[in-house]
Amino acid sequence: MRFRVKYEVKGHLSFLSHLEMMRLWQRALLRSQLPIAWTLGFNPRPKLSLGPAKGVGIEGLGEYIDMDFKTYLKGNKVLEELNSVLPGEVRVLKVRELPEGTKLLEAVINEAEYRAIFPLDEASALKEKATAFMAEEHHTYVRHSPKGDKEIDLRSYVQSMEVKDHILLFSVSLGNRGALRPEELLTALGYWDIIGDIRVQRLGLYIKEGTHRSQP
Amino acid sequence: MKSMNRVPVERFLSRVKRPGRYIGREWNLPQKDFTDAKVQMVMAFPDLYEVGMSHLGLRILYEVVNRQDTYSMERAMAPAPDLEALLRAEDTPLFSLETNRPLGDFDIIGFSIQYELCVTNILNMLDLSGIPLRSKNRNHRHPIVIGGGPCVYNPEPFAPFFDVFLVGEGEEAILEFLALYESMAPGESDEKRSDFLQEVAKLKGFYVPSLYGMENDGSLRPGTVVKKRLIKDLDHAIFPTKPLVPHTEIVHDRGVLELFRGCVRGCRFCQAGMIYRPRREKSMSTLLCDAEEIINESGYDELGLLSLSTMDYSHIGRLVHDLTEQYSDNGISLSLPSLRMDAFSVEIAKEVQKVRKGTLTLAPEAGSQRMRDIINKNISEDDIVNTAAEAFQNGFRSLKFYMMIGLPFEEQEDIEGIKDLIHEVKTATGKGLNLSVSVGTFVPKAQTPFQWCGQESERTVREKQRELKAWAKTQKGVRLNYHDFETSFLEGVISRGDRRIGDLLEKVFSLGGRLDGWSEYFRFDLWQRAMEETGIDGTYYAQRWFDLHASLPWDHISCGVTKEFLQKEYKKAKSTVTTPHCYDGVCHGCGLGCRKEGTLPCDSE
Repeated sequence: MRFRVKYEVKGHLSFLSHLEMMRLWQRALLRSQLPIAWTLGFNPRPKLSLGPAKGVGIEGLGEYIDMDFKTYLKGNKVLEELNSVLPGEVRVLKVRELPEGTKLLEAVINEAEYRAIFPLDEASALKEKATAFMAEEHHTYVRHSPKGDKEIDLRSYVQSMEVKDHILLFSVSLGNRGALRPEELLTALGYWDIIGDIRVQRLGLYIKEGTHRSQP
Repeated sequence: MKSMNRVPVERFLSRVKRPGRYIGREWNLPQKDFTDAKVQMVMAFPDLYEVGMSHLGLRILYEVVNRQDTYSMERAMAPAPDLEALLRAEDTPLFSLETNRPLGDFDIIGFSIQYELCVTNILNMLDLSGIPLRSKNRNHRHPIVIGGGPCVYNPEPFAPFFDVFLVGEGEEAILEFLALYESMAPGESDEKRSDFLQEVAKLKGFYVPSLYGMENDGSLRPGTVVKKRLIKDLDHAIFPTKPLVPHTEIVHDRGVLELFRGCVRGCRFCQAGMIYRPRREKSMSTLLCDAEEIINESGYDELGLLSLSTMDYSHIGRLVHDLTEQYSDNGISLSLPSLRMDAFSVEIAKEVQKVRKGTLTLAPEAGSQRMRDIINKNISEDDIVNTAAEAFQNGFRSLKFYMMIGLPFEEQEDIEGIKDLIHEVKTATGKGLNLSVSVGTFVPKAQTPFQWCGQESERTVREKQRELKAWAKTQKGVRLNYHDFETSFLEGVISRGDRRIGDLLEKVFSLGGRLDGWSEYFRFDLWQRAMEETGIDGTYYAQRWFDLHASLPWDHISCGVTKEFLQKEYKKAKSTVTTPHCYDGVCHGCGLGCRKEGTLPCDSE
């Protein structure tokens, strides 16, 4: 049977990469007494499927992972057992059983909500910059990668943006055409030089259909 | 004395590659208040996190110390260049992984010196902590800097930078050292610090270099010998069965069982084979218990069976069988280091790699029988060829061979011997064999029968490398790589160096030398410049042959194997005579005396 596990990852462990997070979950499951289901093949691994990758250094307050078990289990039992084998900065918040045929996390999640906490003295400038950005129709940004530079329209990813004092809240769309990286948005807003001082959190991941937004 | 300064590590994490190296917080971290202990030590590993965490010795000492309430041990690793640049730019000291405190705030800094070329990292870590590099420039406000590991069997090149060295195994010695620190409080005044170092020198296994002076020939005065420490009862020694589980991938990313210490094969180039004697095994029951706990507590899906020649464990067949039976259904695999060359070892390898046949590693070391006799490998060409053929027939399509060139008394015929051996192996196996041959260059090491021998000249080594490489290109299915000359040369300069080498090492560091064990960071030009500027002739150190009866810079350090035994072995090598390994019941009198009614004289005065 398959469970969808909602969890948070905070503090220093938010600096783990997607791959490192995957290994963290595999090892936690091996430490647990849970009857994990294995993949087939030469190199069997626990059957796990992580939600959309989160940037390194961004705290995730509502992340998801699906996992399979060989026998029937109660959700509560899974939650308790997992929390007993996870390092302190990773906590399972909620567990739910998935009906047969539920689509993969990657396939359904299409929106992410973020919060960026700025140094206090940035509050007034932040509001102006956010308003200006949202007033634009397009915002071209050059993404550098080893494969070469690529132009993307940052504005087209941003669904909403809101400033409360020194806190910036924004939602972005995720999907086949990739995703915006929060540090790209912060750079575009002119904050590239203090990026190490801005705390970024991914508050949640959602399925958005029209105006309706639901949790996966 | 103990500050509660904390380095704001978070500030740097988002700006470096692989921040997982610096975050600590591994699973199984000891549940203790590190800042509350009476004596606080930080174990500094002079290499990147992925190397440091792969080292068993560090994990063992970490466990030993942190089981004590009164003492604590944290860890620190060498920073990668990107973090170093940020730390220097923002005038921030290097920090421990557990509490993120600056290294200078600890009572004691320990360095594990596993490899000669990590020395620039040692100096860098001291410098990033604001601690004077040279022992003579430190005072009671600075931590005591202690070193250990295989390199301290010739500690002299490192001596100017260390207050004290521990020679040999640390499980018991480190607690004696911490207890002495606690009772003498060397952090209170310079006088107490110097009294403490005097007293430490009286503990067995501890060498305080400032109490010795160097003679012109590089030897030390007085000649008081420091004897290594060793654990008599390995079976009951503390072992980390709740290992720290790193979040980022490390070099040896698996649980580890240590089957035994010491090796009795007696290969004449091998330092480990000499310094870890005598051989001490763990019992099957201890190993099976440890295995269960390690697997349950770590979540590792692989267990490495570690020791100098794992196949020589008395019960290796039963152990592998029992472990496979118990864990293979849970997706847990075993891993073995290089294989002994006999049919039995292939059987074991088959059992270990039931599903997927990976690469098997063999270490013939030399190609000709003559050279294998000189180095005392004690295997014949038939052994090698038959093992390869057996492995091939059992489905292992990839083999890896470790070979060496530049060995003492080597002739052109021995290089031909390498080609012949590879040719024989190819003939005996057949189509579809992937043979990868790794050719190392001999580095003479202190405390071995070859400690008197110099390395070959750059020209000769490069010629041999070129010749083998060109030949291998004509061989289908053979891939040959060799270690670069520069690295082996510098290892040779340091491994038999004396105290004067310290100037060279400090110069290399000041010119910017870092992470010299990593080809992407290694800069030989800095070493060349440092040799020019200090007037130290590296070639002289690496390539000279010592007179068999000369005083050596490491004569005051003893691993228990006597100089007479090493001389005898050297002479036998010169006349191509082998010494059988000690399983056959004959004691060759190396000095450990393990045959005498089971006592270990080197530990029982």
